[in-house]
Amino acid sequence: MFDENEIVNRILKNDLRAFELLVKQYEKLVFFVIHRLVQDRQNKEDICQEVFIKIHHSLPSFRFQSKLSTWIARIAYLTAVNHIKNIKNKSAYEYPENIDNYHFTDENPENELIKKNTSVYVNYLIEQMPLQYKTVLTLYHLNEFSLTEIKDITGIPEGTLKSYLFRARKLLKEKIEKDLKQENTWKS
Amino acid sequence: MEELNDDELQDFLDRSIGNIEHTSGEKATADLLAYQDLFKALQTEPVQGLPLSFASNVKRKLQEGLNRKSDLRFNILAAIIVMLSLLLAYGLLQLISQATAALVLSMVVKFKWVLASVIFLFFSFLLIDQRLIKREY
Repeated sequence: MFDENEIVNRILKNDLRAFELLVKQYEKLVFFVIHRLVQDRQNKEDICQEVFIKIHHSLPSFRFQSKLSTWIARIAYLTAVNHIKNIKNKSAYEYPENIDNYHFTDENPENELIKKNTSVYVNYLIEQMPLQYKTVLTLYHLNEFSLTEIKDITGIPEGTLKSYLFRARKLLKEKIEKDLKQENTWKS
Repeated sequence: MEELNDDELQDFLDRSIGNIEHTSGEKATADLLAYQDLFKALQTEPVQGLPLSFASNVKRKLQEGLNRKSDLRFNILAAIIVMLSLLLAYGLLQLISQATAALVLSMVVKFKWVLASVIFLFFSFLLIDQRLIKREY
């Protein structure tokens, strides 16, 4: 069984084998965050590596005040945000300032192909959403963190997170319902 | 025909799917079923993932970084030891023969820019070497 305390203590004694075990334990968690938040398809593995190197460097400052998974997710989240900022500086596209006004854009031919598989289509829609919605959907549904833990990871107040989660799910549900209706109309 | 509010939806999530039949209203039931499908999709892991060798790749990268650091530390320590040894040798020379020590000192002063350049080149080489290795990985 994975014992957080023992693994951290071994890593602090420069045991790289223990660090490899930690990477194996949390690579999915880190990948889910990076995969959903960062659009740059080619560099996802490099960014995940960067997260774990940062974890190794910062481990001496980890005081067990939170769960190790929450702490790791925070490092992954902050690294992803930094990368997004860098990409944003290079590209002209920006999300709307007020995300409460966010809506999905109209259809394009690419949508029609991926609609067949709901989970692929949901992922496609999430990719287009503002960062806050992506973050809360990923951490809550995919990484299975509680809202309190997500508050610790992102620094966003719990009430705001709750409203983001509700609105993001509502937007997705409505979009999928609308698309299904359209598809049924076309078929009949 | 009321729409579900956030707490009702959250409650549904906590209770899971079993209690749909206890929900009143056709619209609410349809909403719950739609959310049920959505939650399933949201919980589906991405098809692509990290390579199986990811953990060992990270370990290797970290090991290389640690090796670089220890090499740098070793080189700086070696340079300090050489300088201290030279100082010690000069001190001993002062005790043995003050005239020779004065001659050595005058030579050092005479060629001070050459010596300074050698030291500067040594540290520059270390710095460039570190940067090049870092860029390779």
